[in-house]
Amino acid sequence: MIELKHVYKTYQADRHTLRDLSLQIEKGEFVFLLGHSGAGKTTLFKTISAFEKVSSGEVSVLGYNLARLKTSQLPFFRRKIGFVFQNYKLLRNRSVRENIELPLVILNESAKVRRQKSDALIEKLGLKSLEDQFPDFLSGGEQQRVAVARALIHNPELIIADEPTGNLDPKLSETIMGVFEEFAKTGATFLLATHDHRLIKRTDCRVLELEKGSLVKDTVL
Amino acid sequence: MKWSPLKVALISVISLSQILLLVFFLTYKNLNIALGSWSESANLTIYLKTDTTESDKNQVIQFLKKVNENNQIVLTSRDQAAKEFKKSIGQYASGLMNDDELTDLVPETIELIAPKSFSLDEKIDLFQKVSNALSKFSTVEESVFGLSWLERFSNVDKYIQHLGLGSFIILLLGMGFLSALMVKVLIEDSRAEIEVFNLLGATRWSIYKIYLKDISYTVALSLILTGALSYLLFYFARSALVHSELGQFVGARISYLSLQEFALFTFSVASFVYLISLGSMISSLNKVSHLTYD
Repeated sequence: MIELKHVYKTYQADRHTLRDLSLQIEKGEFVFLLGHSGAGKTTLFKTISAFEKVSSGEVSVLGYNLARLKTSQLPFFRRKIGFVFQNYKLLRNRSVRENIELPLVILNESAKVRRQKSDALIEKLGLKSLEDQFPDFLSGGEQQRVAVARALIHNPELIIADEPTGNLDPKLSETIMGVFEEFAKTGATFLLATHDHRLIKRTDCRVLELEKGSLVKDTVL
Repeated sequence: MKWSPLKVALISVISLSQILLLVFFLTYKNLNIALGSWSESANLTIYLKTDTTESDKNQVIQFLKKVNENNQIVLTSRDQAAKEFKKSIGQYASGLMNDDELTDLVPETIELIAPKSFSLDEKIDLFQKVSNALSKFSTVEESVFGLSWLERFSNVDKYIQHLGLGSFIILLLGMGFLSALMVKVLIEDSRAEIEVFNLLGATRWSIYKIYLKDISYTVALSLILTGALSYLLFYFARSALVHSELGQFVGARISYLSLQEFALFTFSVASFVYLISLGSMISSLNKVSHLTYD
């Protein structure tokens, strides 16, 4: 599913953001990525989602060798991934429902299908009363839930989430994790970056820890 | 289309520049009509000698027809000319002269009217050619067509046409540049939105489609606004002219664009703005999007 071999990412000379990083994540794994700010979590996400090329090493994601990924393949590769960004990246001029349905619009799904799928997620994530609101009128936690719904609506094979519960209270964090766990049953792979160790309660998850761009811990619970 | 203050500004700017162009086009059209009506009345008048026989007169007419079969020839007999002269001097003529005396004074004339399709220069050429040839006819007393006036008028006409075309091109280019700039600003403003589209797997074409739709609506809306506002402007300007003492004559004669002219204007301006905006959109989108993996 995801394979990195001796990956280096350098922005400035002699300063590696990712340093000799090698790891393998299998299909269906639920992986937590831990690390302090500047440990390289976001860079790793950008690398895996083909937003940035590595300086050296090999990256293979969902069967695509990213070094050989053609420009024409890029959108189709990204359609297989669901992203939850730290800053949510919601479209300000679209309502909650329109934001959630966006991946399906890109996939040219019919309005009926879009409605059915978004209805289910809106219900699960407690966004029913907010569906016609615009992101600027939502709290951080509400925006985060919209971002989660948008990441899952097109049934991606891989979900990459950067601090998906960062702005949520414990109860809502539980709700989000519950949604993720339910979705994981479909066989999707999860890669979640978090600072919140309380979230790592699952017995069948894997925890990776990054420090200064290197993998320092790889534990299966 | 999702509305934003920037899109409203874009529609307003394009509409206003189109109105400017349309007002210019209208002024040019009406000026041309005014000058054209003067030019249409420019004819060659041939004065025949008093002892001209029917056969001499026919010879002249045949010659004029031979020069160009589309020439219109109007013959005014001495009697007819005298009557018109008498009519034109009205009450002062009664009892002043009897018809015979007038007939002796007024010569018989042939008026040569050039084909309507002729430009002013073609008219001048035709009249000069005919006038020279007529000097060989013993029956022709004189042929007159106001050469110096026609030449002056022709120069003014050429000057207006060149100035009109030049200004139209400059205004059109200015408008295109402004539209391209506004589209660029619009795309730059949507940078965050485009980034999200990229991340969610939108293809280059699907992103183009979103903005292409926006540009199409913008151009269509601005054209509707241009048509409505320019007609209102024209209507008020004409009303004001008709009700003023000085502008009454002009007000009664000016006209708005015909349906065909408006369709031509719309098509050419819309195509130009659309193409320029399209180019700007593609280049701006390629700059701000993450559609390549380098």
